[in-house]
This record gives sequence, C-alpha cells and structure tokens, in this order.
Amino acid sequence: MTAFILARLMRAVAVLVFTVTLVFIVLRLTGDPAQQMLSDNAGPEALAAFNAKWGLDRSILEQYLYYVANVLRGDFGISFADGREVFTVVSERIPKTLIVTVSAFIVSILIGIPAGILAAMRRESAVDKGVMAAAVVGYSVPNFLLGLVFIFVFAVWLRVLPSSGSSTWSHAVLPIATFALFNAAAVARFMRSTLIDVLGQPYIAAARADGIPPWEIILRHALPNAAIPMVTTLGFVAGGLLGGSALIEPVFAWPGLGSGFVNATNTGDLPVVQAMIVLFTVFMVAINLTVDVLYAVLNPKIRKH
Amino acid sequence: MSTPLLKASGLAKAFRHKTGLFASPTIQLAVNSISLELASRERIGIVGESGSGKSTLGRLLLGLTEPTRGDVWFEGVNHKQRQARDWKAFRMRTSLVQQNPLSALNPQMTVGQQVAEGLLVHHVTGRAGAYERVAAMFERVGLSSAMMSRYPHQMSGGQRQRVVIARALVLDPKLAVFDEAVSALDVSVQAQVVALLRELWQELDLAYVFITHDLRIVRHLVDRIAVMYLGRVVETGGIRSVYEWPRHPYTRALLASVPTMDPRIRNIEPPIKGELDASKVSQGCAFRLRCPFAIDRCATEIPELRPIRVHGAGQHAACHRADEFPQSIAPQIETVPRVDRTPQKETAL
Repeated sequence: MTAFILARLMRAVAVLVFTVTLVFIVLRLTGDPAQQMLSDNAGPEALAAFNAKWGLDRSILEQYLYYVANVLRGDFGISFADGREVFTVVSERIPKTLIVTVSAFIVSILIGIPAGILAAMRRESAVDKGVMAAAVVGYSVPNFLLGLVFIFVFAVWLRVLPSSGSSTWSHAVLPIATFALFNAAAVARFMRSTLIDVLGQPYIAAARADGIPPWEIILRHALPNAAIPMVTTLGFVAGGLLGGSALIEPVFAWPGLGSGFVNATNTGDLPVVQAMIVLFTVFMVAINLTVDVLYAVLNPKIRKH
Repeated sequence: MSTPLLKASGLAKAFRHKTGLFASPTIQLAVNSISLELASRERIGIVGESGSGKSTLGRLLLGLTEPTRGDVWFEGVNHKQRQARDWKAFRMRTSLVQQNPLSALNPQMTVGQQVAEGLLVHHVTGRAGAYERVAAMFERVGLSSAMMSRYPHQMSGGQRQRVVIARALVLDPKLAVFDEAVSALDVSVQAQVVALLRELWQELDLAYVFITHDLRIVRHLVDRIAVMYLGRVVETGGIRSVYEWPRHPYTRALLASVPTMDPRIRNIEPPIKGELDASKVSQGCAFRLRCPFAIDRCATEIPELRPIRVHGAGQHAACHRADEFPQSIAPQIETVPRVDRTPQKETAL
C-alpha cells in the first residue's frame, strides 16, 4: 500500500515537470507577449525594451532554466499587466474558485448520488423516468447558457439574487447552482447505470435468495461495489469543475482563477497564464492521486497484496 | 399423501422483447405451463439447452421472479400468499447456488463474512455463534476455517464454489436450487464438487433442484429428471428409465450426443439439426422443426405431457409418437433395431 502510494506520487511529480516544460515552450512559441501587451502601433524600440525588461530576448532554454530556478524558490515572476507578484495575483483568486467548485462538487454529490440510487432501485418507474429526464436536460444544456438563464430568472426577473460580483455569500449562490446542477445530472446518470450494473450481478441474486433485506443489499453489497467506478467518475467531475470555472466564472464576473485565466490569456500576461496552468495541473494531479488512493482503499484486490 | 415440499402448477413466465424503437414488443414464453412436485430429500434434475428456460424456472421456484401465470407452493404455502415476513422465513429454508462462483461472491467482503451474513440477518446466532457455525460449515465443505478471512479473488475456482455451497447450506435449508452449479469449473474440480454434493445430501435433510445442460453430471446427482425444450417439459421420469429408455426424440438426441469413451458404441440416433429458435414456432410441437420424426399431426397439435407405460414408473413424455420408441438407447451397440425414421417433410407453417 505504501509502495503503491509512493509510486503514484513519483508519477505525479513526473507529470508536473513534464507539463511545466511543455506549457513553457508552447506559450513562448505561440504569440508575442510584447505585441499583445503594448498597443498595435508600438515602435520596434518599445517592443525591444519590453522584451529586454522581461528577459524575453534570451534563448528559450535560458529563459526556461531561469524560470524553473525561480519557481523552485517560490518566485513565479511579476505580472506584465499590473506589476504585482504573480504569486499574489494568483493566490488571492484561489479561495474564490475553491468556494464555488468545492461547494458545487458537494451539492452535486448530495443531489446526484441519492437521485441515481433511487432511479436504479425503482428502475423503469415514474421516479426513474423523471430523474433521468431531468438529468438529460441538465446534462445537455451548456452550463454557461444555464448560467445566463439563472441570471435572467433570479437576478433580472425575480430580483432575489445578485447577478455578478463576489462581495457576499448570496453572490456565490448562482455560480454554485449552475455548476452543481450540470454535474449533479452527470453524477446521477452514472450512479444509476453503475448501480444497475452491480444489481444485476449474481452475488446480488445470491443475497436476495438468502433473504438479506433490500436496504441491506443496497448498503452492504451494491454500494461498496458501485463505489469503485463512482470514484473514478467523481474524479472526472472534480476535474471538470476546475476546467469549467473558465466558462462559468466570467458569466457571473466571479473573480476566481477561471476568469483570471481568461483575462490573462486575452492580455498576454505570460507569467500569470503560466502560473495558472501550473496551478491547474497541480489540482488535476492531486485529484488523480486522490482517485488512485481511494481506488486502492476501496478495492480489496489492490489493498490486499 | 403428505404435502410435497415444493409444488409448481401451470407455471409460465413471459418476457417482452423490443426489437427496435418503434417495433411492437414480441412476447416470448421462457417457461410455459410447467408443473412439478418435489418431496423432501428428493433430487430432481432440470436439463436443457441454453435458452430452454431452465434458469428462469429455478428463479420462479425460489420466488426471485414473478410468474406470469401459475403457482408455486413451498411446504403447502403459495408464494402469492406470502407476506414480507413469510418470505424471510422461506428464504431461510431455501437457497440458490449459481454458475460462476467468482461473480456469485461479493468481491468486497471476506468469504467468512458472506457465509455468516445469513445467520446474522435471520438472527439465528450472534456474532460469536456465527463464527463457530461458519467455521464448522467451512470444514464440512472441505475448506480450512483459516480461509474465512480471505477475499474471493484470493481463492481458486473450486474453493470459491465450496464457499458458495457453504453459504447456501449454512442456514440448514430444506431446498437448494443449483443453477449450473458446477458447469464453470474444471473437470477435475467438477468431480470433487459433485462428490461433495452427494455427501452433503447423505447427511442433510435437503432436497435438490439441479439445473444443468450437462447430462453426465446430473446422472450421478439426482433421482428424477425433467428435460426442457423451449420453456416446456418434454420428458420426465426416474433418472434410470429416462436415461435408458428415453421416449422423446429430443431426449434421445441429447443423450445420444453425450460423448462416450467406448469405441463399440455407435450413435444410432439421427442428429438433430439447427438451433433452438422460439420465433419460428407458432403452433404445434415446438421441437418439430428439428425433429427427424415429425409428422403432420405435430404441426397442428401440441403434444401433452402424458404417462408412458414402460419400465420405470412415472415416466412422462410430450410426443405424439412416444410409444414408437420403445427400445433402449444405452448401450447403443450396433445390433439395436431401428425405428422407421423416414423424415417427414414439413409443409405448412
């Protein structure tokens, strides 16, 4: 078990190093930050001065080694846009994004898992059909569109919730709801199909034939076995939430990593973009690592070796 | 006569098949008007090809599937009259052993926990008592009690099937349904499990319903046999009389197809052709399209299961021409006289 986790950790570090390198090279080969930052009619001297100031005139290898050395010391550079430390710019956005994504993740589990279980247990019933119809709608509507609909209904029409900003808790409601509904639909659908699959297994028939009560079959036999594929899916959902923040946050002007990333990309703020991609990678690697570890904890075939 | 342990009457189960989004569903009878009785400690074999409905019959007998028509009585009580509590009592007194022991065991629980679960759920014993009973049951099916803490994937196929048998018998049931219980095992392991089942039957007050496609295995395990074809019982009787004097052409063909080691024995039965296909049979005898002995009457009239006056008592066959096959097929040495078997052309359908 310890060896298993150590191996996964090593792999996580390798993924991180690879991503940082790849992103560094690709960002520097696509687009000229000097041209993006300065206005279109900036003269060649101004561009050269900009490049010299930020070290962009040196070779990519040189820039890369310099960057890595600084990152290892915790220095992610200075934002081109406002001259502040990238570390500050990015880290003040982290809690904003975590509030929305973590809450949305919890809400989508709280809605999706019971809904999926109910649908699987009452298969082909009105409950099942209702849950699945709602899930298909929730899953098919693009989440930014859902966000706009919510703004229209709750902010413009009913006037009960603010449409943008992040100053109070009520500002978080709409982004969380938008995110949660979309993902609850995905979780419910997958929970249902996984559970139906497990309920068709011969050991469930054996438990029924032994007179094990239905709720105990669900709790002791079905759910622990459904949990293994569910953990994988929840990992995807968690990853999707982070990626989706780039779509949802701008809709509600929510000042998290997602809208920060979109802004930085538009303005060519290379150090910020770079740091955010590294941060997203760290999150993704952490999610995958968690999934791997949970997988080992849940599965006796891996646990008992 | 006393009440039989298990009785089924006119049992039928229909399944709807939807072939396409807009196609109207077709209804197929997996089990079609089956009646049978089983006394305490009696062992019956249900034999048929895959798709004959034998597994569905097993599930109907155990009340795991609702019948479309017909009734099942266990110890004189109709399944339809059972309340939740009666079902629980019924489940204690019956059990099911399935084909693949790996998928029949929960991969997340130790095998000991799984065998103990029934004892705990039915409040037969407390935790300590359950441990004792499970350990004793493990020893009885030929497993060391040290294996109780293993997970299914840490055992061999034969060991797993012993666990499944232990789980089925730990509550001391009166009836056990074995659905292809040894078919997934290696031949050598099969023989061991069959020997174990014979031993257990000697010791316990237990009736067996043994569902299988393997005619060789069932011969050593049961007293009576019922041969199924497309949801119906086509022949039934004592194991010896059916094996030696089968009266239904399907039984004859099945028995003749069992490979034998004796080179002098020749298969004199004409082989049956084609595959079992319910969709082609709308009326008359379901077997007639594959039957080398079919006559015009077979296309119009469904043969009823009727008593055959022969050697073994209680032999029944559902064939219009059953009386024309009086001879034994075992051993089939070439001198056995042949029946006239000019194939009749199938005309109307």
